[in-house]
Amino acid sequence: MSEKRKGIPEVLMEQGVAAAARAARVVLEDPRGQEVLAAAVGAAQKGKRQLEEVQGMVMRAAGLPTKGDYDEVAKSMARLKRKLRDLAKQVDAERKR
Amino acid sequence: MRFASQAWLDAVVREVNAHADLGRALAGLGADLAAVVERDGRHFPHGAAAWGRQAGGRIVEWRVLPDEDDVLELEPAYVVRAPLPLWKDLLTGRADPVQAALSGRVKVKGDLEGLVRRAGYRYIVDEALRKVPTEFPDEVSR
Repeated sequence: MSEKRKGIPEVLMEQGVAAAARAARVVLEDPRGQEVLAAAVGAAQKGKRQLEEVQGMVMRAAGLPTKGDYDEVAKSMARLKRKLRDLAKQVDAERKR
Repeated sequence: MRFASQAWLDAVVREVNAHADLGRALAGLGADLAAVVERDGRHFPHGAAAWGRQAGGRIVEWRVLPDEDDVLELEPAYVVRAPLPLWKDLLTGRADPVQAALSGRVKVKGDLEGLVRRAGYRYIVDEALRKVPTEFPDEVSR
């Protein structure tokens, strides 16, 4: 099976990531560079959080579930799964008695 | 010791906790972290996950989670996800964790800034791992 030919966006993205990794390597070798990189990462994360908050507000206003709502459901499912596992263990232990 | 087993995790944590610089490395970081090996259909069909909590400059609680989804319930301050080959590269020093995180190959949830600031303390984990013989599942099943 031949590999799917990459489009211009994919190639650009790959080259961008490779360039960023090369730049990060150079920057990380210097403690001051590390500090600058950390601050840049912090700013990017803060921007992403703010964007998600705005997105959440818009979704809520439109009566649609937000990412936070999905996360809550996923958390409840995980809790249920764990409780079922615990119950199954108890049943097994009872059977063995 | 088999990678991602409870015995392996116990040994790694014992070595990490014995390091004199650990307190400085952990100061100011979030309370807990989960490391997840993504499902791969071969070695980890259900994924694998380990969780640890720090307090007072050392790791005080840790365990291998029976189900990767337990991470969702625990909601740790940091979640680091990667497939097995990448974990292997990271743990054997063939890949740089910061570069891997910035390029998106390792998915990090949580305050990445704090982790980048502490990248210089990587030697603590490297030294611990050198002392713990690690058997990766792709090597065992060959």
